[in-house]
Amino acid sequence: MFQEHHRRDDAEARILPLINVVFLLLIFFMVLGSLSATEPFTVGVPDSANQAEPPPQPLRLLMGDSGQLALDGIIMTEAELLQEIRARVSDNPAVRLQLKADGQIPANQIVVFMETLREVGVEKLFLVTQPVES
Amino acid sequence: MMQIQDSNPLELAVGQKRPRNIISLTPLIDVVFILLIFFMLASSFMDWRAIPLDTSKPPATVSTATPKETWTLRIDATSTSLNGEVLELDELLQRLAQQQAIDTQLTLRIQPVGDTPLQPVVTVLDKLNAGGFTRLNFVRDVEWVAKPR
Repeated sequence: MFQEHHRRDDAEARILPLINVVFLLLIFFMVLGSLSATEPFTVGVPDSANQAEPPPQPLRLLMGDSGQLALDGIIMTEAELLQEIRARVSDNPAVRLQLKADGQIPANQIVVFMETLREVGVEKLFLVTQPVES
Repeated sequence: MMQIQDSNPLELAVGQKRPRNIISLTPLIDVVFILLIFFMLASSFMDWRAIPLDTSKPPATVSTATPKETWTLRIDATSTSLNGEVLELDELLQRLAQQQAIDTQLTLRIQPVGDTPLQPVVTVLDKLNAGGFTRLNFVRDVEWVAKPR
């Protein structure tokens, strides 16, 4: 009886440092990591020296390197997307739009897309970039 | 006999036997591990930045704007040209600074040429921002046609 108890305490004492480390890791990830929004395809965001912060809680617009479009993580066609944006903008005119576009797609495609966005009532847009070390 | 001894606090403090843990450690560790794995997978450490832009006006409205105060910067994958003249970026910035000193309302129209990717355009945009030019407009290249997907 005593023997068994002794072994058990011993085992617990041995894993205590492990638990400490795991707890520290947990707290590290909880505090420093921000929860990422899931994206249906990868987007190679352009590098930039720009330091401006993206707006809080934007509509997330994604544009992949072969022109795929997604709004808030859902892939849609351009017509669906524009309809959705029009609805959201008329619901809440103060909504911010954040465009995460791949650095490899033709810039003219973005310009044309911005023209269509203006038609559905979007005046301001935030182009997401990745900071470069300078 | 044992019962009586255990209930005596003094005896307990002195005795070898430790008070038993009320919660066993193993399930706790399981939960902590699961939480850890969740946060490791779900968190991202990417540090995003964003360039605020005004959405482009269609070309029809742009062409009717006063051309006098508007300069056009065409951006290629490798070169830049200001009002049709190919210039290095440094010289271009100098000229723009000179012109801006004369005309504070100077607006720069940025026109990517053909299939120029976004990255070189963003790089030029960075340089312009660093040089203090904020009155920028994006204009499409009218000859550019979207490739069928």
